[in-house]
Amino acid sequence: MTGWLGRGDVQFFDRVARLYDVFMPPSGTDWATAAFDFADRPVERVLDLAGGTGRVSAALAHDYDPVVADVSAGMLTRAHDRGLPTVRADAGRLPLRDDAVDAAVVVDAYHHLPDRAAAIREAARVVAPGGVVVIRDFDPTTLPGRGIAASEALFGMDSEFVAADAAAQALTRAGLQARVLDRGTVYTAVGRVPRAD
Amino acid sequence: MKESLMEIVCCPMDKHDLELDADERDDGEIISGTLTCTDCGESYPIEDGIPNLLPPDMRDGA
Repeated sequence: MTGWLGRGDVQFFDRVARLYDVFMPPSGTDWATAAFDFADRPVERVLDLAGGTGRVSAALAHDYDPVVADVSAGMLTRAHDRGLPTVRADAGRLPLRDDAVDAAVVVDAYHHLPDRAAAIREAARVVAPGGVVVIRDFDPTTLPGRGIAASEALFGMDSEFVAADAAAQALTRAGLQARVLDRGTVYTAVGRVPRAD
Repeated sequence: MKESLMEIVCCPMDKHDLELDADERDDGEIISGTLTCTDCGESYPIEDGIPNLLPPDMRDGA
């Protein structure tokens, strides 16, 4: 699906990159601590998928070693200026090796991904066994979540919000051991990459 | 990009290793250059310190 903003709303994000951080609150990392606890390996290297300006990675960088991947050059320039490692990439065809990272996170971005199934499959491939794929997003089945979904639709965005349980099911379909950790307006769904034995 | 990023990146198409050819370096960072797939030969630009590893069909805008 492609709206007038273009694939994955990239053109929109290229345009708003500079304003984006003004409107989005700083990102805490309690959710990450909880999600990484679900991993069966130490988490150091973290892929911040559709990580945009690096808002989440900047917070994660205190305790982890994040890499920001995004389609939008405008957003990535901001992340790069923050001193974060950045890679311009398509979530559905990641330029990362198998088992390259200990965790992959998709924060406030799962609803923007043009092909969510491919993105989760790729995330599961690049996360090492025992590591985790984490989806954190607004839940459209909650009242505030519905409001956010409606306002993005007004902006002509292609976004399609996914409820917590559906996100966990997507992780399960990719072969991960999934669970929902937080429920509410913002949920955290986490899937652990199984070990071969 | 820092050279250490080479440990984790690969060709987005066939996932083979990339070879780094740096044109411009600054303080341990590669500012411009190319990353070339050792298998399919596709080359990917490094622009303003950011490797553009989008698949070739997505490279020119959205």
